[in-house]
Amino acid sequence: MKLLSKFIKPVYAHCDLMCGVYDPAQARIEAQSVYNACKKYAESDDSVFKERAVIIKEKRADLCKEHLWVLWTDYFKPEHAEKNPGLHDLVWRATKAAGDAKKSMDAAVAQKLIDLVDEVGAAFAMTKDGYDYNAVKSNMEKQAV
Amino acid sequence: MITMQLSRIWKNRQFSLLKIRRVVGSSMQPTLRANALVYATSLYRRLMPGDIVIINHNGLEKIKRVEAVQGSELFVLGDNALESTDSRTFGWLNTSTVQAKVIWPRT
Repeated sequence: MKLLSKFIKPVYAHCDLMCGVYDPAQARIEAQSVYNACKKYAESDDSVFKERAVIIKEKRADLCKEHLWVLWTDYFKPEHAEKNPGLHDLVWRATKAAGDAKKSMDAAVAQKLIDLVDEVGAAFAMTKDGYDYNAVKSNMEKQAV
Repeated sequence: MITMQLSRIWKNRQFSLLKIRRVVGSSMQPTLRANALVYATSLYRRLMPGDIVIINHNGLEKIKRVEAVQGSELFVLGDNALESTDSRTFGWLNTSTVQAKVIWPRT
């Protein structure tokens, strides 16, 4: 039967998002990198190192924003926003925080980004059975400087 | 009624008494899992909300469920709302895009 079915023309139960793989861990990793870069910048006296820290932090903040956008525009669906009415505002604030983190070397600004990404992660976990965002958070906290 | 059906079939030029298709993708789960076989026909009287249809969209035959019918326009959805690209994204479709209505499995 399996062999036979290979000869039958396909009809597509279509989804543009073929992979269907989404994870706020990506945004959280980048947010943690932003935070660590700010800390290392503050602790260093080496001007070349500091310059690199700024460049890397800006790239990571940009990636964090990108990952948040992917969750917002591709993963979250109207049903999620209905169940969580603050969702759009939350993601908007988180992406704004990523923009702020690009402009600043203040670890407190980076921490605000982390906190908002964690809120997005918690919102994501509510939509996916068995997904444990706390594990992501705990792994990242272990890598904080 | 027969004249209307014939005219629709003629316009579509895709008439087939029985289409057998193999489902690819996950947007119709749990009703239709990947590799499920479906039987469909172009010979149907009318479309109703709840019907599963094969549509021709962007050059692909896609399978979706009719959510609403308004005149000559259809709103279609995948049963697996979280993994489906459907009328929520591409909007209402003209009924002329419908190639066939699924007659089996009955859902």
